[in-house]
Amino acid sequence: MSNYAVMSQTEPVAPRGAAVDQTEAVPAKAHLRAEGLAIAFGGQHVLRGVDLDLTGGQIALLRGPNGCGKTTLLNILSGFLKPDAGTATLAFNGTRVNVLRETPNRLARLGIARLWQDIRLFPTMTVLENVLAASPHVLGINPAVALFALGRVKRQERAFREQALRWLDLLGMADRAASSGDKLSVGQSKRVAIARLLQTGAQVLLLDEPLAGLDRESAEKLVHDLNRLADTTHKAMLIVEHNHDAITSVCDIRLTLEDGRLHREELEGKQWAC
Amino acid sequence: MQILINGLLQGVLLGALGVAFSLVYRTTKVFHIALGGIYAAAPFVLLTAMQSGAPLILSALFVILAAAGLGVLIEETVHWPFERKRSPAAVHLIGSLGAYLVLVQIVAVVWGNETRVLREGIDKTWSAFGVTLSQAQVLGPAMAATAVVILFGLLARAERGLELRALADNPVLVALLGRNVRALRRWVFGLSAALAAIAATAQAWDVGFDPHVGLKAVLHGMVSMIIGGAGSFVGPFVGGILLGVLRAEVVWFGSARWEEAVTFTLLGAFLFFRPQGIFARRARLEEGV
Amino acid sequence: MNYVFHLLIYFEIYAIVALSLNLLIGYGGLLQVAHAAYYGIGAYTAALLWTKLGWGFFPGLAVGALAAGVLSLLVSLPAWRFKGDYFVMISIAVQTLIYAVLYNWTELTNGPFGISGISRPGIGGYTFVTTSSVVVLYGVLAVGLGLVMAFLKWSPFGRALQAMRDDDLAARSVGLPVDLLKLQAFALASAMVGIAGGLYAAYVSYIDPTSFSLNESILMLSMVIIGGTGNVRGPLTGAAVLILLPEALRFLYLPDAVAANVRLLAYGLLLVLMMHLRPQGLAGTYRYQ
Repeated sequence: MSNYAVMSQTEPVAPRGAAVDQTEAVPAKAHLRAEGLAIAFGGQHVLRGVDLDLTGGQIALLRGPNGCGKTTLLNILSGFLKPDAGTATLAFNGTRVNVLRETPNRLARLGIARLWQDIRLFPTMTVLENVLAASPHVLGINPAVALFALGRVKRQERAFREQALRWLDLLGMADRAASSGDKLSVGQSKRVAIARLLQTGAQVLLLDEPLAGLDRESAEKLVHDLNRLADTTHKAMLIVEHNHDAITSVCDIRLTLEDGRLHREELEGKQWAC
Repeated sequence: MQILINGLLQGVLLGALGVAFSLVYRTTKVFHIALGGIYAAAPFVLLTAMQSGAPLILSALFVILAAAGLGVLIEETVHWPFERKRSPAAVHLIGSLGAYLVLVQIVAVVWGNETRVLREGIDKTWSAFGVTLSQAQVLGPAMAATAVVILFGLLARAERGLELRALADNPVLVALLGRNVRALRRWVFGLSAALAAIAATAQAWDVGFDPHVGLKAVLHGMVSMIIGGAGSFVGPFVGGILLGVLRAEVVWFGSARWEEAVTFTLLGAFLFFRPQGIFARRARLEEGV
Repeated sequence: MNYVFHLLIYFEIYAIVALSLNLLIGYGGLLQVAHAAYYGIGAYTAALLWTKLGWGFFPGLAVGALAAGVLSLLVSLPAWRFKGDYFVMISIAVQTLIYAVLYNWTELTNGPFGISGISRPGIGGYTFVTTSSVVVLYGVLAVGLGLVMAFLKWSPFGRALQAMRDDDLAARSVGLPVDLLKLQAFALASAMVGIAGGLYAAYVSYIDPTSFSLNESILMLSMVIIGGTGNVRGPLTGAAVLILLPEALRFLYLPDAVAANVRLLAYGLLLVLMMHLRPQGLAGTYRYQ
């Protein structure tokens, strides 16, 4: 139960029982800061002292050769791997979270959520259910509440459904809402996964190759939409992407991971703001 | 001293089971519950062969070959079709459970549910340094140990062994190298079944048997594998010996009633506190899951 | 006619068992092999409260369910760490431990001799003496619990379980409290099968540990897998098959000595065939992805 208690403290935007609507409410800026992150697998040092500083509204491109540890860094920041050394904190609305001590599911609720390189939709669920499953602070996830507070659960579910459909619409997947999660092309799955990510309401998004598998037109639209989200809702994004050309134009920061260290370049303003 | 020796001898049989179980588990990722069916059937086949008048050595050879054949049959009818369909691990597990039920119940229908013995009369015993051992108590484990050593020799020396070990570590690579994965898998199931049959008849010769001993035997094989670590072929054998000694001590100092409970508490403890054998070195998330 | 009522009562009890196991296997993807142990905890707790302390029917039943629910921590805490084959092994270990306690804690459970003289269910002053009245009472309870299960499937709780079943890592990454969900699923399912255990005890008036052994757990698992999981219809079909299969086998005019064996043999064959032809079972939806 303490889980729920802590969650609600760090969620100032949402009124009780209502879905978070990121398109309208503009929360304060989140601030993710990591220092000296190091990790080794079987004696092989993958990260050796990585520093990172990311503020709400910023988009950072993370690049580097294959196997240099980009995904590993994402895994650490999303709570799936514990590093050997280093610190990471998320400051958001006056609360500070020690990122390295939280579990992945708590981090997603506290504000850091990630997109998987291998997409990982829930295959037996529909597109809409996939997105709904990521809703934050669901009352009916407690079986007792689901059974005995039916009315409140139903109202909340209706709000979640509207929000989920809005995200799917933004990503051009609203007409496939009833399709099964395993009956989609790679590009479509990716867009559903992004909708699912947005449904979590997290303020820091870690995106592992969001453009892979998307055709040029959809990629451009997605980049445009991500940029708009960063501007209007102050989401911070850390994007691993090989298709640098498609995304550099909207990035504020370019991070290059090489030999376990991260080099940071501030980019000269966005080339096309919306 | 007596207890320690008893435990060691018992442990050799458990170790052989651990090797038989982990041979399949390490190489094919099949959780081989049906091995319990083969374990249960082996002494009955030996009994019938001996009753038909065949000499012991010939009967024993026949049992080992029959068991190997049964192991291959299970692979052919259950696991290989699943593997080709890329069925998930749970399907293999349930299929194996089904095969176990089929084998054990066939044995029960054919030979009845009663407890049987293989040898007649009182066994020859030897005494030295205050330790008394019966012939059955020594010969069985000696046979099982020999079989395990031969198997290890096979795994270490012959090319087949090298391929088997590669199959364990990277089946796709083995296929890409043009090796016949299907034939290798047959060998694995056959060898594992033969080893289990040897352990089964050795145990049956000592203490008697009924159709329902198989599941417990397989469970002991699993526990041996966990204790010794699933990362090598030798580990489970050592694990089995440790388990045998511990069980003998429990029976002596505590009570036989809690023997099983202690075995499985040990399993839980090992899984929690010494899981190195199970989970390989920490890997990147994608590899580890 | 009484015989039909008798079968109906067994169907109702097994329907509750199957539905509760389905919550774990079908909704949560957790292959639980200790279910008979929790059935036993419910039965023993209720039976002891009724016979030793003279408690009423429903209070005893409720505390039995509570005991099973609390003790489900024995499997749900390990489930945080172990998945797939290793979890199956843990649950077999828990099954063996609980069985050892039921069998060996003679001061409390009367060991292998069991508890006799359990009285029929009663509410207030009314006792359900006739078989037909028990059919009605158990039917109402089974339908009620079935509705709860159907409702939970469509609730956000069911959706979260399904997400966890489909992809544990992805579920965590979108903020689902996977560990808490496992605790809740095991507690609910174990409490529910605990109720079924209490109902069984009150109907047959005598219980001993053999009804709660590993073999019973395997039977329960087979029932649910053959019927199918992931919805409500599948487990009910499984319970019906479990009740009707012995009746169908009656027409083979088998001698009594092998009838039980042939039944289990049929189960084993069905398990293997199902995994080949219809992994989702006769009427289920979950295909063990």
